[in-house]
Amino acid sequence: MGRFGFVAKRLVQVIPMLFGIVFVVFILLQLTPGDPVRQIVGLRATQEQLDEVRAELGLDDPLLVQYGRYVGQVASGDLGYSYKSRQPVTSLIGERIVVTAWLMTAGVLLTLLISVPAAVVAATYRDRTPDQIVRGAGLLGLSMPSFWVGVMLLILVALPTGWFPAGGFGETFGERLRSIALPALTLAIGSSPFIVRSLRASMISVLSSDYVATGRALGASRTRLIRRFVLRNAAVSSVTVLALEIGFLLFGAVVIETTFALPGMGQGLVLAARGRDLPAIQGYTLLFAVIVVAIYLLADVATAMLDPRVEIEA
Amino acid sequence: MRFRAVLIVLAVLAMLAAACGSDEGETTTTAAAGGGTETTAATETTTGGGEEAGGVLKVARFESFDGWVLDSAAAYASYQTHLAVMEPLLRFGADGVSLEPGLAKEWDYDPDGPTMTFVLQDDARFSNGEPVTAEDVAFSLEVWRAGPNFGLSWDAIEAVTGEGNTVVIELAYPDNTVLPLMASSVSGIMPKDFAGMTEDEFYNAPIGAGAFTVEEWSQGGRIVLTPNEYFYDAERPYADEVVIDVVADETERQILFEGGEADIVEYLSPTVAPQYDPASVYSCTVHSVEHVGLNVLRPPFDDVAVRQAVAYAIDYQAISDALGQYFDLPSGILAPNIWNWVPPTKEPYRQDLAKARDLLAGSTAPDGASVELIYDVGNDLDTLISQIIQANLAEIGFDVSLTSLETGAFLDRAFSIDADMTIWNYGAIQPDMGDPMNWIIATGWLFSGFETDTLFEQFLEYAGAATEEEQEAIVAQIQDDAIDNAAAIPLAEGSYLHAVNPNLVGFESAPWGLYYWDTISFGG
Repeated sequence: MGRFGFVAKRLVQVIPMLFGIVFVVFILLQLTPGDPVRQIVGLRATQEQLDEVRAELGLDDPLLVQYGRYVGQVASGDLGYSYKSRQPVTSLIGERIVVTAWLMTAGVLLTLLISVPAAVVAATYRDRTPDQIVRGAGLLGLSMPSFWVGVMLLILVALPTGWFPAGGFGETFGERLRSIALPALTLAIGSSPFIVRSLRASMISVLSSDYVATGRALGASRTRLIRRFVLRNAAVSSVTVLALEIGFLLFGAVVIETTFALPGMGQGLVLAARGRDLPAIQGYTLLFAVIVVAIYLLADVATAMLDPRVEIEA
Repeated sequence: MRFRAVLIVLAVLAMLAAACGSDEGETTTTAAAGGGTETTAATETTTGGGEEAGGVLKVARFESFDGWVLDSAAAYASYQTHLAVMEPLLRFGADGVSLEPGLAKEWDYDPDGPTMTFVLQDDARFSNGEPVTAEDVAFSLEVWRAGPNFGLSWDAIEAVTGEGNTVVIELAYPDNTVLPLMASSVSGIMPKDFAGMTEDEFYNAPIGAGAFTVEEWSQGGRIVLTPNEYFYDAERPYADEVVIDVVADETERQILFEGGEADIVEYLSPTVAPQYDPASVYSCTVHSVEHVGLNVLRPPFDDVAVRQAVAYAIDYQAISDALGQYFDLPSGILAPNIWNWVPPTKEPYRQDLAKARDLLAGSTAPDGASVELIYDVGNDLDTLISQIIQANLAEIGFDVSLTSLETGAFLDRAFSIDADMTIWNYGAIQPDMGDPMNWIIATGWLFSGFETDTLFEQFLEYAGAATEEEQEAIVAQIQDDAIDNAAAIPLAEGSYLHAVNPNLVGFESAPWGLYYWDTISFGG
């Protein structure tokens, strides 16, 4: 099977997991108060008209029948139609996934850009002033809620300077970069402390290992040692933390997209939930789940690549 | 090597960002979904009043768009958008009581016929270039009739005929409510047979004869409207584009407005409005009614004396003060400042604790009761009001537990008449009292479960009344009935608010907050 044989097994295991996720979401939505039919038909409709539409949509069928029908649709790549707009859920998601992809990519890049140098500084100056500053800044980043950070960035940076738009998502590459800068920074401020702590701890451990001492004795420069040996070995555990962090970032995007008026999947999920648009909620949730599972799988692959000794079991 | 490559890529990205940031002042990314649109006027046509035609009108709102099915839309955001694309035969005036030309330039209602005659605008065309005909009106009428919400409103219409640009609507019996309904968003004119599309196809790519056509839309996302090149008025619309974004967060909407990335923020909360520059707050004529419904289907509010005691226990002045400068004491259960509105002939309730205690002493709940009050957590006004009512009723022995619900759950319970007390607010969507009456009936007398047969009879009488005096007498009677039965108690009445860029020219809103985008231009 080889070192990467776990990938195929993991992919097979994902299928029942997704069924489970769909089932849980489906049941939770059924238990949530609020009649979606009222929102579909309109506020002035009579009970008889509501019942008629409920029957048309099959919403009066037993739960298991509805679940089976939905799973059948999903299996054929059909996420259904939005109750309100009559648009296919896949196209609703398609419009928004680009924005979220930009946000996540920029957020992760900025997180790495902030956390890797910070962790290197903190580890190499362990318990000295730079380390204290990095740890203090991390604590500050962790203790500030992201919606507050976002609003502060808008008020203190976007409005006075005019360098960044106060909200929305641009059309051109440059506009998009500017639109996404502050939201990505907000994400990074919240997520960097986790990576810094993890990477700092791993680096301290690696820095005290025999092969680093040997490298030093052989005259390897500090930069070369850190780049080629310390960071690579220390990164193994941080990759897992980063994968977990991306999962959290994805759900953090719900808040960030609302704060910055970004028309991404997070905002779409919030609006769908507000309108009790069940097919849309299910579609977004399913996609979120698929993305998280895919990221964890990629993290395992990355871990196996970084450290040949690692044997990951499916 | 790879590390260095990553550094180079990041440096390039940083430079790109810096380069993009340096051209500020020429181009501004638009609100909530950006857009790269320019805030400066794209064309230089003068509209006549010194203002400039062209430019992008950017609108930020909190409500999601419901889609293009006119009848089932429930959000003001949807009504507003429908009016721009699927123009009805008539328009409403900003005064809330007048009708103005829409797709029809002239109209006449003859109650003796009874018929309504509309003369369409010269060369009225849909956005696909096809002329608007009586057949399109007849088809639209059938679509409206099929609607579960407003379908019954068209019951009086028997036939639609036409010749040239004249459309004649024959009624089976006189109905005063039909004409003003022609100015509401539910009466948008659609092309016959959905212009050859299926219903679903049409509602995904709607065609209307309004000032704008749909360039891009999604339910919760951005809507982009561009001028309909076949619009009957060659001068309008003045804006080159209307970009509408749903911005769920109140603070973000304000930031967008202050940053010049939104020209209009629709339906400001009165609690937030003071944070805006007063010069940019547009206050509509007083219209919205805050109310509480008391569940008459079970104790303790099945006893009218208990309901009246509650009505006397409420401190209306405190509620009005708490809601701020845009609210006042309530004058009646029917939303004011529309056609045929008159106040009740009886004195509206005002706080009188002694009277409340007297009434309660002789009622079925002399010691008060424990009751549940529900409200929509998304409405900050209702949160304030519920707390005041809780304190007021404690003074006459009521233990009121407050339940805040997310909108969907709230509506479910409200329409099920499931709680003891239900707080909400309402306004009309067209300039005639028939609409509030219709709404009050649909809500089971504003969520109290009070019988609506009498009101329905009054509505029919109103619709068939021969004179305005008769209509006003019916309205006064309904107002008085509401005081007598105290099933739904008006708590305050106030204005809908918008934040409007002071440079806009031609912004005028009806009391219920709806306005027309095609009349708006940027100041010169």
